[in-house]
Amino acid sequence: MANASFNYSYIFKYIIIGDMGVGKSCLLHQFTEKKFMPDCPHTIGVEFGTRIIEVSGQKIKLQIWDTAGQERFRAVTRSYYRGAAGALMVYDMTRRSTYNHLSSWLADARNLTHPNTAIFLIGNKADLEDQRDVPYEEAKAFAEENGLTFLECSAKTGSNVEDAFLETAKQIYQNIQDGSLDLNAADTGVQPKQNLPRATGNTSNEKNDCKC
Amino acid sequence: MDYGSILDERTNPAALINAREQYMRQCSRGEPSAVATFAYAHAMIGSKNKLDVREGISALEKMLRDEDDVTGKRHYVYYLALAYARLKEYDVALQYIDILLEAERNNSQAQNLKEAIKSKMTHDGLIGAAIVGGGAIALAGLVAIFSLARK
Repeated sequence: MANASFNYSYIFKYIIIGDMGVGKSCLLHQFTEKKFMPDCPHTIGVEFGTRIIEVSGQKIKLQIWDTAGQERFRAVTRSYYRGAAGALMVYDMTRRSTYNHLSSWLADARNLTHPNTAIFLIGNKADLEDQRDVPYEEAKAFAEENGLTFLECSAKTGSNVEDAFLETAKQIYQNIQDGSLDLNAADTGVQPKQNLPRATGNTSNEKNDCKC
Repeated sequence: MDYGSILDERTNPAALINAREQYMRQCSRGEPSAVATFAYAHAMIGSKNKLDVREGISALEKMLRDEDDVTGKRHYVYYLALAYARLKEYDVALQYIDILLEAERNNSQAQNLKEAIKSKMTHDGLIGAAIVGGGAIALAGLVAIFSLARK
């Protein structure tokens, strides 16, 4: 995609969380490079990726923090949750244990991010249908109970990967448009590119008729 | 991201105090947990105070010696490289990052950190300076340990 433009209206900060080996870095790589990275080494601490996308005609720069999944390094990765506008919580649909740990990841995400942070539940490795260990309906029900948006995707084939990141951005953008995300509040994870005067709020919020 | 910035990143002072207190509290009750020890060492190597960075380094070096698990070791080696670079002891920093690169040639995080260290050296006018120091000797044993652990 033509991402060469520096002309974006917002920066959205994302975090990707979940157990070790669920494919967090591969999802990020597939999204930013459009390539599958086999034998991806386990992330050390945190890693960072960006891509400019378009939502409702607005260019948005996504700043994505990919975190190490091991318990031991959680104290370090936790410090990156603050100020995230979107969180992708990933499990491996061929390994039930990674699904069983979701409640602890969700608790972290809820405690450490803004109340308006868009949290998405992502079941990765959908290409391995014959090894499926978590039924779609079960994860869907878990997501509904907890008010999360749910998608199954595959970092390997790329299926639904774009959607995972774009739908999150749409939800955040929607929250800005309808006022539920107050850009003047601290730690929203959204940064308008031009630093608008704080007191008067958004002066020129170019309205777009198309609400995708 | 401008990878030079990871070298300039600093721990928030409140977070540092918090990590230190938690670690000290655990130490007073016996052996501190691996989670608390790493959190403490990680916070210390991001301190503005060089003595704190040194303390973080000795904690990481101890963890590296005591660790059997490769996933743990690669973290410690990476953060040791980072910590030494923050102290501007670039020769030791490069040796540590090379240990990781030797085991994982395609690790982009390690490659990026190495680039950041080298560009800092250029910036400090140190490129081409002779690599010296006893650090090299102390490290020699570790290389073997680390590569052996990689199956």
